[in-house]
This record gives sequence, structure tokens and C-alpha cells, in this order.
Amino acid sequence: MALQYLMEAVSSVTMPLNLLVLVLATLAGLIMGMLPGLSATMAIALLTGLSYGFPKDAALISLIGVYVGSISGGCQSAILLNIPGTPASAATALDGFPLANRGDGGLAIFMATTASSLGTLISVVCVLTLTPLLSSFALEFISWEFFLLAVFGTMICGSLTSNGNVLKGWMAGLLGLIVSQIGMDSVNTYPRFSYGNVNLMSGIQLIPVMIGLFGFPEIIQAFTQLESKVLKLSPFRIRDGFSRIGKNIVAIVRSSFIGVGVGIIPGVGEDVGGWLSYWASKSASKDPDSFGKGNETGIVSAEAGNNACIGGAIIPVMSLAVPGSAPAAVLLAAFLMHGYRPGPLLLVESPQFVYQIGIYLMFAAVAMWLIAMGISRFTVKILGVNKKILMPIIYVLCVIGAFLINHNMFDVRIMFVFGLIGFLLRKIDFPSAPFLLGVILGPMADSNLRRALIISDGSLAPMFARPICIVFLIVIAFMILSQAGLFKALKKLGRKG
Amino acid sequence: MESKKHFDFLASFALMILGAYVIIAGYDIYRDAGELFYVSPGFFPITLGILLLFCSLLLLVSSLKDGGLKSRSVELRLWWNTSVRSRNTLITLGGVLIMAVYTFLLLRLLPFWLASLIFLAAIMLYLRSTKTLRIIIISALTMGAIVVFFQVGFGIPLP
Repeated sequence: MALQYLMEAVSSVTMPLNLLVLVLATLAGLIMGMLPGLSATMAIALLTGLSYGFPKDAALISLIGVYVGSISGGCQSAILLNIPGTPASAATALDGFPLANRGDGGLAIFMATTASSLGTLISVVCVLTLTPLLSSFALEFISWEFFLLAVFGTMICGSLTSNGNVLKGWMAGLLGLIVSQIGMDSVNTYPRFSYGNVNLMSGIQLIPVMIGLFGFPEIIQAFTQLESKVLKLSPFRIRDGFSRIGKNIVAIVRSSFIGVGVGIIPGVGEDVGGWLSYWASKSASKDPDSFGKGNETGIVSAEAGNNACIGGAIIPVMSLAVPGSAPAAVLLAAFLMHGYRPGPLLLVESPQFVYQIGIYLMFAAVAMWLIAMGISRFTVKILGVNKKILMPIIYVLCVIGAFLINHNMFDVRIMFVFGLIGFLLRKIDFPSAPFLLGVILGPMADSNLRRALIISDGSLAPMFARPICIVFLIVIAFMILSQAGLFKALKKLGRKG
Repeated sequence: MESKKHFDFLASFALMILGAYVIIAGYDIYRDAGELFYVSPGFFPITLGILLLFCSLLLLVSSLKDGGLKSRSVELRLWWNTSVRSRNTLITLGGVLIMAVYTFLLLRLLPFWLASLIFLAAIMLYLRSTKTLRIIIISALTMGAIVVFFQVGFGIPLP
């Protein structure tokens, strides 16, 4: 049966129209990823609205194409500008820019793009094997587990994206959870925080929030940004590039698996995947001092790691309806918008879906490599685009994207308001990813907790009698205690004792 | 790295007020819904409000480390004075204002293509993106391309 689904997915993606959509979406993703300020999340959020009227297959292909393209495209500006196009490519800049400065920019881009493509392909294997496993495991979940999963997801995302101050990450998650309470409550159908406004009663739509949170701050920031100098692309021999990739294949495979693992963790995302893979390769290297000075292994590790996160982040989307990263959160909303119901029952209701996504990812990885190689000679021109012209145009596209979800101007205003919130959050160093995850997971946490409490007559005791819940509780308690400085205090006591 | 403790101090106050508001509004919902507390639609918002209030207090305490209240108020005053005079702040505020006028006013009063055309030309002129004639051409071409691509090409209705 699996083979049949795979063949069907291949025949779907190779249809001329779908191939054209794949090429255009991947190209658009690459360009958006290349341009600093246009993140992968923004690219997918924008396309989600724009793909509303597309046939289902074409819409899925375009979303996967833009996702793969935008994560990979970030490496080009990281290498030529020393400014990562997306946060995912931040680690790539460390070695990519010094290599380009030495006159090997073309080679660095070739290696980064090839590693990105290989990372995505390796993650496809994990998508196809791990999603059914995780889905069958998630079938054991009842309300308590779903509630704790939502809490765990928001907390771990807050912890890992907080840039040093975990409390701020958790508070951002709490703010998102509070926003998710706006609208009709799903247990008692009681309107909350809607102040008699019909639009608010139907709740806050996810896509305008995402476009606002991730797109708006980038647009505003571009108003005052100075244009950067782009290094020139140098020619290189393809055979030489492949031989260097061959020499680094162990690092690529290792980084890909790290990327998948990081991707599976709720809300964490491609930037952490890139950094962790980079760090792992540096730790395993015999010459760690060469990292940061143009080491090729550093480039391929970061890129394989961040692109493998794509597959990793999609696994929990499909099996648990919990996004593994911010772009995957937008993808989750897009899946819902196109009529799919991600979660443990997805494999029962739409068994072909996982195979479709796997095949689309695979084709997108190959298309991305071919297109990136084809357009690399124009990269310097693309990177030289004036942001003060580009960003206002992007804002008009954001307006269209927010409008198309419900054909409602209220969503456009919501996008603007959340854009301001996103801008303020960035100013005060509150990460946006946990905020977004809170908005997504809020209804799941609320309805499952209350349903569980209704069944248990208000008692929390059943939660402590379920093994999966106990694991979640231990991990959550560990996260809180480690932040409260308890372990440091215990260490001190141990030393004194 | 630049210390942002004064922002933490300010944010903790704002979020404490928000937390308190969520608790009060949640209690009102609980009272109006007339259900048992753990079944009530006010239960989760109240829980979240309490957690936000608690976290804001922790943030406030941590923001007062290294210098206390006096240092934070001095830093805030300094930040305010430099921000108000900063050219970047003014450019940003002006840009946001143009975006707000487009979002809340122009889109309501004018057809989408015209509102967007005016917005694009206005904001590019304001940011001095390029020469005036070029700005007008770019704005017109962009709007033409958007209308052709979405409305004519894919039959997608625009705002």
C-alpha cells in the first residue's frame, strides 16, 4: 500500500502544472531566503494565503517548495554578505564568509547548497519512517497527555529560543496562550474576550497573526537599514566541489540526523538545528581552531543540519498536530486550511498524506539544488535589491495574504496589530516563536485540560497515574527547577558537604 | 551586549497589568457562565493570568538587580531622550504611520489597487527609496503585476 501511495505522489508531482508550481515556489523560496529580512516563516505564511485558491496538491507542493527553498536560500547571503538570509543560516556565515573573502564564494555556495539538499533528502527518510511510529504512539494519548504536550511544547520552545533569558521565552508562550483564549470557547461555546465583536467571537485567525509577528518587524527594520556590500561570486570546478562534499559526507549525515532530532522538538526550529550541527562537527573535528576561519565542514554541517530540520519539524506536525518549528507552525495552519487534519488520526483518515509530503520534500530538495545552481550567477544582483523598494511591496503582499484566509478586512487589521506586537516583542527581546506556539496550542491545552477535569470530577490524580503523563511532568519539572537555580544550589551544597 | 534591563523593568509592569486584567476578566467569565470552576470557560484564562502575573514579578525582581530602581529610571530617561531625538525612530514611526493609514483608512475608502498604488508611492517617496519617476513606475508596475497575477491569472479575489 505504501508503495502505491509513493507512486501516486510521484505521478502527482511530475504533472506539468505541479512541476511548474514546484519550480516557481522553490525559486520564490530561494529568493526570499536569500534576502535578509524575509524569513522562511514569512515566505510560507505569505504563500499560505496566496495558495488558498490552488488545487490541494499544487498548494501542498508550493508550500513544501517554498519551505525548502527559503531555508536553503539563506546560505547565499550568509556567505556573500555575512548576513544570514534567514536565522537558520546564521551558523553558515561563520565559515562561509571567510571562505568567500578568500575568493572561494562560489565553492562555498555550492557546498552549502549541496549539503542543504542532502540534509533534506536524509530527513525525508525520517519523515517516512518516524511519522507512522510517532502517530501510533500518539494514539495512546488522551486529554491529559494532549494538555501536557501543549504545555511541554510551549515551554521547551520558550527555553530554546529565549536567547539566554528563559523566563522571557515562557512569558512569550503565556502571552500566546492568552491570545488563543479570544473567541468562542470550544467546551461551553461561551464568547471570551470578544467584547461583543462578531469577528473576535470567531477567534483570532492564525495566518494574520503569523504574517504580523514574523513579517511586519522585518519590514519596519528595513526602513532604517543601510545597504550592505556584496562579495563577488568566484568560479570553481564542479568536480572539485563534489570531491569536497565526499570528504565531508560523515559530517553531513551526522548533521542531518541532529537536524531531524532538533526539528522534532516542538517550536525549536532550523536555526538551533544549524548551530547544534555546527557545534557537533566542531567538537568532533581534529582541528576545531579552524572553525570560524573558513572551514568547509562548518559550512556543510550548518546547512545539512538546518535543512534536515524541515523534515524533522514536519514529523510532529503530521503525527501530533504540534509544529516542530515556526515555519512548520505556518505549514500546520496551511494543512488545516486545505482540509487535512494533522494529528494521530491523520494516518487513518488520509494515509497517503505522509507519503505525499515525503515525495514532495524529495522533489523540492532536488529542484532547490538545480535552481540554486542555475541562479547562483544572479545571486549578487538579487542580493543587491534595494530593501526600501522591496519591503513596501512585501507589505502589500502581506495584506493580500492576511485577507485571503477569510476574505475579511478584519484579518488585515489583526495582521497589523500583531505586527506591532511582534515589533515590540523583538525590541524587548521576547522571542516570537513561543508566542506563536502558544496561540496554536492554546485551544488544545484549554479544551483537553477541562475535558479531563470534567471526566475526573475536578481531580488531578488521574494525570499522575498515566506513564506518558509522568514522563511529561518530570521533564516540565526539570525545566522549571533548572531555571530556578535548584541544581546550582545542590551542587554548591554537595561541594560544601 | 547592550543591557536591556530597563526594557525588562518596563515590560514587567505592563505585563503585570495585563495579567491582572486577564484574571479579573476571567473571573467575570466564570461568574457569568455559572459553571463549576474547573468546567468554566474562565478557568484557563484565570490560570494563565496568575502565571503571567507571577512571571512578571520574577522579571521585575531580576530587572532590579545591579543598580535597583534608581538605575533603571535613569536608564529609561536616557533611552527616552536619545530615542526621541533619533532619526531612525522618526523614520520608523513615520513608516508605521503610513502603513496604518493604508491599512485602516485607504483600504476602507478606496479600491484595493488604488489604495495600494498610493501606499507604495507614498512610502517609497517617504523612505527616498529611489528617484520620484522610478517610484511611480515601480508602484504602477507592481500593482499591475499583482492584479494580473492574482485576479486575472488565478481568479483570486483581492481586498
